[in-house]
Amino acid sequence: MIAGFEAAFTLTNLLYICVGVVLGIIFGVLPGMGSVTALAVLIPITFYFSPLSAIAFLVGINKGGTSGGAIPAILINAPGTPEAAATAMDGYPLAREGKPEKAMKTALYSSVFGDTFSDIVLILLAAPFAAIALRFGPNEFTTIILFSFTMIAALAGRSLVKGLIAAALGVFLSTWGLDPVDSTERMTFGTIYLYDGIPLLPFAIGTLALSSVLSQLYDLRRDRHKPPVPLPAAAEFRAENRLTPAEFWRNWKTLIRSACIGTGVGILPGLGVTLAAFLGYGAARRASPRGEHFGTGELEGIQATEAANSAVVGANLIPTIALGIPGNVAAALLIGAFMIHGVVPGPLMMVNHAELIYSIFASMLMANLVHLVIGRIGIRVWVQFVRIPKHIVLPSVVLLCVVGVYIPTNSMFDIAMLFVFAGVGYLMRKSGFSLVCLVIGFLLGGNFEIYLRQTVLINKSDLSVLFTSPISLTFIILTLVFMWHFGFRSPARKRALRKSETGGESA
Amino acid sequence: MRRTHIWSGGLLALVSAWCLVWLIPESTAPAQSELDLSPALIPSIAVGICLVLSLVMMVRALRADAAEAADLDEEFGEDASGVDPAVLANLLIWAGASVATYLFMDFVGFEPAMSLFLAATMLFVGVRRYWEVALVAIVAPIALSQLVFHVFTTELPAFWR
Repeated sequence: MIAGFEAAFTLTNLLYICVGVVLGIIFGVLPGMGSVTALAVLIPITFYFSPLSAIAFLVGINKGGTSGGAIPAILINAPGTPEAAATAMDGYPLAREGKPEKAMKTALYSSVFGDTFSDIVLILLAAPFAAIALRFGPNEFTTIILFSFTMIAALAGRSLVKGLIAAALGVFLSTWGLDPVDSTERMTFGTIYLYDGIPLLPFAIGTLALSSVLSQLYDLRRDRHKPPVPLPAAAEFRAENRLTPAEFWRNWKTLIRSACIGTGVGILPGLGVTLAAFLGYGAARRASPRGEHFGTGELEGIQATEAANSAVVGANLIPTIALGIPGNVAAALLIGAFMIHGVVPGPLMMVNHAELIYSIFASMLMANLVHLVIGRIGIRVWVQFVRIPKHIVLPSVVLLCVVGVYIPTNSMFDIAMLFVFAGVGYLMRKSGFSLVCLVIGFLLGGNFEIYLRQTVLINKSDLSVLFTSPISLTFIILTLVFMWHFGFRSPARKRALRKSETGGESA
Repeated sequence: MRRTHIWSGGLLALVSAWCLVWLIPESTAPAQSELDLSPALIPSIAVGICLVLSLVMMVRALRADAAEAADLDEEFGEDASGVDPAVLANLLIWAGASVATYLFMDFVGFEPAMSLFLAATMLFVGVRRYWEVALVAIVAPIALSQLVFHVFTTELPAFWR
């Protein structure tokens, strides 16, 4: 490891990491872009770099891109990436209270914490954890996703019924397109554009980001005759936005829990950053004594989300490096970059390229430090956006959303979907249906169906296998426990509480 | 919000019933293997849940006293004001603006379509400094289009490209 640091700690390498982190953050800030687009676009320019510098540069992009989405989520309630949607739930209310810098600092530090945690897990435990990940098959994934559905109960706000309706709608929309097993058409309405299903990016950006921008634009019109709210004086602003170490570390349990969740999700191929973010948020909401206050500007909510989604970045490299299996699209692109530079990921990588691997590990830890420094400087810059009038920022965000969904596919259909789901999101927002549950249902629904049907086919319709595999059985028991807790125990307690409150009032 | 729950519950129940009775059976094929689950199973379960819960929501809202109505409230705070004629009018404006922008972008091009969109939006929200409107509406789409071309080598839609 020390030799790795020796090789990695060069001025050139540090410079590439810095540029990578900066570019990653910029891509993350732009709605619809994120680290995957950044990696895809910037991999070709690494052809002329040394393997170590190239990978360090790309790792920097990945780290910056994952946390960059939090910035627009906090400042204007328009998440740059789907995984930042949960950050917006508490980050934006805090920004509206005049504490955008505090929210961004919390997001940055939590993100670096999650990143560092998963990097350490990667360095210490890559090989054994990858072997555990190999034990997960369709049976296990089916039950994990089934368990993840219970998270909706924690994310649904005050109305479980509306949360479940939104999630069911999300699951239904995820089934449109060609059937994942038989490739027969399903709800395609005769158009080939729907063969791949409803595209995730326009769906997520439309419902989460653009619908919020729409709502704010209408509010702006409604309040156009009101005098603008004056910005606080610099000294007052600085005092309100100070984040003390005690405030940050008060929720250390949440940070560790979310980092573990993100690492776990990252190790398992195919589950994704967004799921980790929502699982982290949901788990924190359940566990926290201030869970009822989540969604109103709780630092703990931001910490839970950011630590979880950033922890995926390092953990994703565990199956990538140890087995050559990419955990998600970003890791698949990194595998491509490894191969371009003559390094073949897989079990032999640790043997054949040990020095390079440890240099990459060292670069990842350095990238976290660089991320912290650059992110901290960047906050001062980003917070200035609050000073730009909303009537310029909000219409420009619509422009960025349109470009963001067009670039990956060059498809006008995606722009149409963006506009449609912005309208749907606006209506759901006004009628109080949870958009987060809709997106979670959409994300989980497709995967659940694939894994369930694979399980059924592999086991010849015998679903008893779900109860004989220890991993599956554990997740089924957890699902039942959480269903009982949220379906029966919590509502009963709420009713009892309300009765005692009304009883007290009448007395 | 109580009225919103009643009509949205009713509407959702109707749409769900339509999906269950017509859309899903008409738009899905039977499973190719007898071991496999039907492709209609998961969508039917999802829509079935939607149907039952929307009826539950509607009935609860119809029967609700003040305390229960408050319990049906959600997570968006003051943003979830309920659906009233003003919200429907806003939705209609968005539908019109988005269709016009989409068609204009498809048949003419990104820059003119988004210039018009930006100018219209800024005027709509009450900006009356016309130089500001013109500056943002002209510079932002052109700058973005050039950036996208040079960074991503992607040409945004336009009839002249």
